[in-house]
Amino acid sequence: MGTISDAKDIAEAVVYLTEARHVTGEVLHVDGGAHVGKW
Amino acid sequence: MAGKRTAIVTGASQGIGAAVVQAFLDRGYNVVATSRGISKANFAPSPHLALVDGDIGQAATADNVAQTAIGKFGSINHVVNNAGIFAAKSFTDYSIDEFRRFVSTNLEGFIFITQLAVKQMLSQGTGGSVTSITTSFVDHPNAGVPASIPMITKGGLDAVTRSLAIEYAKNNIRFNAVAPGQSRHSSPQEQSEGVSKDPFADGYDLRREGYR
Repeated sequence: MGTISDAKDIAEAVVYLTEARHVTGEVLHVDGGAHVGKW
Repeated sequence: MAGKRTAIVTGASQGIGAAVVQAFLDRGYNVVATSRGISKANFAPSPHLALVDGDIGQAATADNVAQTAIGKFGSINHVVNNAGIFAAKSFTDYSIDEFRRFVSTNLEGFIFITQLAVKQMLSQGTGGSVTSITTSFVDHPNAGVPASIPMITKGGLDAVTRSLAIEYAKNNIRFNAVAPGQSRHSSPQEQSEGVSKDPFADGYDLRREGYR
């Protein structure tokens, strides 16, 4: 956390959303927390 | 079931797209991977992987991708809209031609393939999912990475994701987005062309460009 993400980190989120049966309309941030503040 | 689902991945030759292709293959999906030069990418041949070269901003490419998925694997169950282009500069420095390129790849590249996939999912009656790569800079811009014009397109993806999530909820077709911040993995070819790949969609490392 507090570091730049790897492509694999993003891919895991994509796989999660692909398989999450009841999740829709969601924007999932994968940025080590950068969207809530500056690190 | 797991071995028979088919996923389409755009912008798949490198970075996040390539990682998504590999993750799906590892989990037993059939994958149709596309990008302008996907056949030159370093994917190990697999009976579960089909490659389609082309500009996803062109309807003919999307048609080819959808037909490949249906013809080779028999269905379309998931789409990952990863293809995207990006360039950071001052608002006043963007040209109208650049804006149109962003629209072509980032928005038309979403629309053509997603329309075809949704039609196919509806005819299959089995639901499905569409996952798009946006960026956390849509909601949380950074003065160190000015990107107003590409954000029009990325913000559009966020908006259409919510619209479609409701429109097709009863059909069990889900629409979500992943919003990376900066990620690792540069794109030398795009850098040399002066139009960097979306750092959030493709893993362009902004630190190398002095943004941090």
